[in-house]
Amino acid sequence: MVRYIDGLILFVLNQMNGERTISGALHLLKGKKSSQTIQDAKLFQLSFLFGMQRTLDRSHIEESVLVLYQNGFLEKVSQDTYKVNEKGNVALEGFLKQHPFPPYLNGWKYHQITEVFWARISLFMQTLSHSVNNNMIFYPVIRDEQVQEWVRKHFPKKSEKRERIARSLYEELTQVLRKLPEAHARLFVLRLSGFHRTGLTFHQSCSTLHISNEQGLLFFYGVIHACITHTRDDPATFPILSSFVENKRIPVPLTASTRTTYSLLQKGMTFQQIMDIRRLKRSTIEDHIVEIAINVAGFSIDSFVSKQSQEDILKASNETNSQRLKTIRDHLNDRYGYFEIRLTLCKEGV
Amino acid sequence: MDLTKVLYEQFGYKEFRRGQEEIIRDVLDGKDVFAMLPTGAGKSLCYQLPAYSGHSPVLIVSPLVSLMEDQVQQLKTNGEKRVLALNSFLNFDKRINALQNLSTYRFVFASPEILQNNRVKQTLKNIHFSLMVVDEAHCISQWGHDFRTDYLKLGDVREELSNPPLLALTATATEDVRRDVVKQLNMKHPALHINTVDRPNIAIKLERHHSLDSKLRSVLQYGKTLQGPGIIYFSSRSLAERVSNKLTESGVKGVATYHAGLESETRLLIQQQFLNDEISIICSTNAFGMGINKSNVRYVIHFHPPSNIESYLQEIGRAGRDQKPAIAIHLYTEKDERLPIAFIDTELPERQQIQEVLANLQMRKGEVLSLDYEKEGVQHRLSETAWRFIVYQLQLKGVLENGLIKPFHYHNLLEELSIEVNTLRKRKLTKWLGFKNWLSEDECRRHGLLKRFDEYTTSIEQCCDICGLDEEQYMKQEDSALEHVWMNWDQELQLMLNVTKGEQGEE
Ligand SMILES: [Zn+2]
Repeated sequence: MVRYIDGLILFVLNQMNGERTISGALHLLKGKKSSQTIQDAKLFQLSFLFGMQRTLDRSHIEESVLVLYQNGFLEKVSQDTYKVNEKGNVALEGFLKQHPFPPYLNGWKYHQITEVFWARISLFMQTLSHSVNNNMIFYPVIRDEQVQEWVRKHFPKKSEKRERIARSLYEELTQVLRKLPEAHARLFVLRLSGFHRTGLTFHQSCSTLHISNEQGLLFFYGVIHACITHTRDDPATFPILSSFVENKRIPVPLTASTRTTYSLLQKGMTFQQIMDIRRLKRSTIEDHIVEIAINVAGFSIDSFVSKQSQEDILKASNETNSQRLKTIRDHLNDRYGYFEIRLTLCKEGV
Repeated sequence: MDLTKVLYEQFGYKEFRRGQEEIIRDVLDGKDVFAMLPTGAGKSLCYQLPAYSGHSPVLIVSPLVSLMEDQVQQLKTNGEKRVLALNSFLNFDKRINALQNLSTYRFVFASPEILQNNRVKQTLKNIHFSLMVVDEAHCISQWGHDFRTDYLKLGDVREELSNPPLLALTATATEDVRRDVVKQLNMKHPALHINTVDRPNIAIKLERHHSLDSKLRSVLQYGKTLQGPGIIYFSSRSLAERVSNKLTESGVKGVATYHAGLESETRLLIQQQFLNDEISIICSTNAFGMGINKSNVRYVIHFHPPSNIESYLQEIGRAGRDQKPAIAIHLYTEKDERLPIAFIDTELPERQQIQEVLANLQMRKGEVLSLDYEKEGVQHRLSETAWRFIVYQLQLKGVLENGLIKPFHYHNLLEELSIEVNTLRKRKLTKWLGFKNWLSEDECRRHGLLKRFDEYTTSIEQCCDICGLDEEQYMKQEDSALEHVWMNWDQELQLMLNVTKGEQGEE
């Protein structure tokens, strides 16, 4: 494998199993908030990569696909759709062995709070570092007024407390960082600013580690997601890191329109009633329900697809070894609609 | 009043720099003052010191949000708490809050746009400002190199604030621009302080090349051999990146690219690294520098020419603010001429674009037009400057009144606007030609620059490549970027947070 990005694309194409075009892969990595992309993330177990390559564009992914194709790793299924072949699978295995994904990476779950976490921790760290080293003259690395306000509010007023907080922050961070690969921890710390130096830009930190920006992004997000995961699992051990997480309860990541549908469902309205009230097409409400099924733990789909139908659909998916709606529908002789199939597959997360 | 005492107590300086004291005395006398001070001569002291001598609060109008933020940050860094910036980046609740407490501030910075907001204006009216400052005052003049239509309303704003004394500050303004500024701001018998634009500690070198390749070789050579820190200016992002990468590849340490396409966090970090001497060379488009207060820049190289002489002076003026020797090098090929001309074109609307806008407005008579560039200007593929130009002209001709679209005669208006565009284009081209002539002259470079401001120079050491220049003294003596010694991440965190291991008995 020549470049990290090629390996990453190979992985995504393999997960998609020749059932989505390369646009599907692109939308997923860029984090497009459409029902289709969100469903794909769940269906193909790619949620952790959702939105983890925001700067990727179509030409990058086309270039990667070309490289992979020329290396003989892909079979063309149809226009813009590729399936990873035997040779590609061997290459992919090698790639994943060499570059395992960051253990805590979870793009879909944390993408809404990642940036704020970084802004807060980097400004807090800079301020604290200057303060405990007795030098309060510095230019803040984050100019966002809300973040500055937040740090002002949460910054300890007394100097003894600052020293205590500095030690605790050190302990908390090292606890998380020790569990991660050395290079990931290094990249993260390189980016922090302190009293003795300015943090590196993202690009500079990648060059320092001799890695590509694409790989660096996953390292960087991986560290932040590791911090967030630890604060969620054990807030008592990580009180300072916990405070950097925006809203203690991470909001269920639903798109705005889906949120409305969800609240109507919670009020006990039926599918038909919601369609009437919201004046939306059937297919739109269907998308909403699939999105809810994916994101709301404990949401029952039984009122939309009977238990028996769910079993049939899952069986068909296993028999055909496919998550492709059309394949499954054909296999079941059109007994079920796409909505039922989609909903079942998403809920099960096969 | 013993100004030197205030200077020392508030700012820690023992003496004034050239021109400052005279300006401050006139400001303290309550006169209207027009002051031209070269870049790096300490313009902001001219209103800060009066503020600490009882002339407060001060209202400072600043054209660029980034410039404003830097000035605010500098004041805060010096321990000033009573400083407020009114720009659109504040969220609305906070803005209202800040407005209600306005009287407790010593310095209020405002963008010209925000001064158009009625609530802001109403609140400001209740405050008795001791001084109004217009920074980068040349922006008010259409003939200036950086015209901003929002600046034109500052004359009215001043009147509504019951005419506080006014201080107009600029680094470079030719005679016609000066007159225009004084008129637009309704300044009465202003005290004029025109200081020389000359920066005698900056040597000037012009280097003509036959091809882009030979220019590239030259810039790489300079990057490797000149004593930094230095700034290299480009017109194109891709060339800035290319040169930056080449320099890094050839082993030069601490090179970074800077342009408007980078994320704001990245831009901020690079500025900070440069200020702290952690990097030594910035390859930049002209987005870099406004508000950068770095005293030890040793050279400025122009890989591409700016489109007028004022911009050129402003850019080379970022070198040698510590008054120690510095050098400005301009690399030029005939082909570079296309760039400023193309730049001028994008700053002005094309006839077809004017037609499009007018046709659109004609259908929307009686509507209120959003003056927002993103909402309106973009759809006609106008640059922001071009859009602002059209809006300004429409207001001037009474077609837009408080945003309301009035009926107009399409063909007449089209012709009128086309004439205005052509006049402005000619002005700008003339300015470019003035600079281009300088690039082709073979007399003392400094003399050539100064005569365009009706100034004359006396001969100095290390003047320019024509008068004779010992380039050796600008060559690298030491690495200008401090290299940070990186341990491992754990030790780095300990250092950062000042904690020592084992203090609490672990490990
Ligand atoms: Zn000379």
